[in-house]
Amino acid sequence: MNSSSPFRHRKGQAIAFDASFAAVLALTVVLLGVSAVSTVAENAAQHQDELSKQAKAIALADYLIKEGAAFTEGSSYGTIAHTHEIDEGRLRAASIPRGSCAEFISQGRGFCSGAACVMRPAVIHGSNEAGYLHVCIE
Amino acid sequence: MCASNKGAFFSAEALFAVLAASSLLFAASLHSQSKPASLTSIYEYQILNDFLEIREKAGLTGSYVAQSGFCLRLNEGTMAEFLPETCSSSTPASAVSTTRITYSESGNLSVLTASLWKP
Repeated sequence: MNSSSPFRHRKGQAIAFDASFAAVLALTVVLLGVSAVSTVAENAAQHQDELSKQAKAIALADYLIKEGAAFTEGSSYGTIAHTHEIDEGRLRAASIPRGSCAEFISQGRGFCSGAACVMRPAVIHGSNEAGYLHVCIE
Repeated sequence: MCASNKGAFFSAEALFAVLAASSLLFAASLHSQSKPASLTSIYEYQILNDFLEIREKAGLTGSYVAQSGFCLRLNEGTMAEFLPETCSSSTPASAVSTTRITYSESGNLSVLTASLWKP
């Protein structure tokens, strides 16, 4: 290095102290940055996956409670679905995606399990017994 | 330029680099603490409306609401009801709320305000 170099070194020193210090810091910043970005990306992907499963469970439960497993009857306006009134026969026959399950729980715990589960308050048609529609997605 | 002044141990540039690195770490730490987006509010709002539907169809009891793990507060006129009764503390700011117009058997209209939260 000549005397015009921005990094000044002492006589006999190959690299100036502050230049090497700055280089170490720059490397540390780059390494930390890469590590932070990869961690954030990994967490975001995991969170997105959980969110997607949660959204599917919420959507499936909403469909079942309002139409798929709701008690229906004919009227002069056409078929009417009574939301929140679960028809057990329709619940058993409801076509739900593979890997997911749905059951009506009136007391205690259900058998349905999965990566994302939701419970929606509902009643059984006929007996008007209050319980929960339990839906899980694998 | 990373030139240190005579007598100074570190140059201003090196100190600036330390400051920049610290700021980056601080920003990364703040970002990792930020709350991620979730569907919790939407789900809680659905549950709240479900409870109001069940209230119309079969009635609500404290033990039934307790089974869901939520606390429910119902305000109608001057009446305030907490379900289950163990939830009778102040309603947190994070609670989701909704308002409905209800029609009583006596023919009167009243405003029902309901709030739901996780205890």
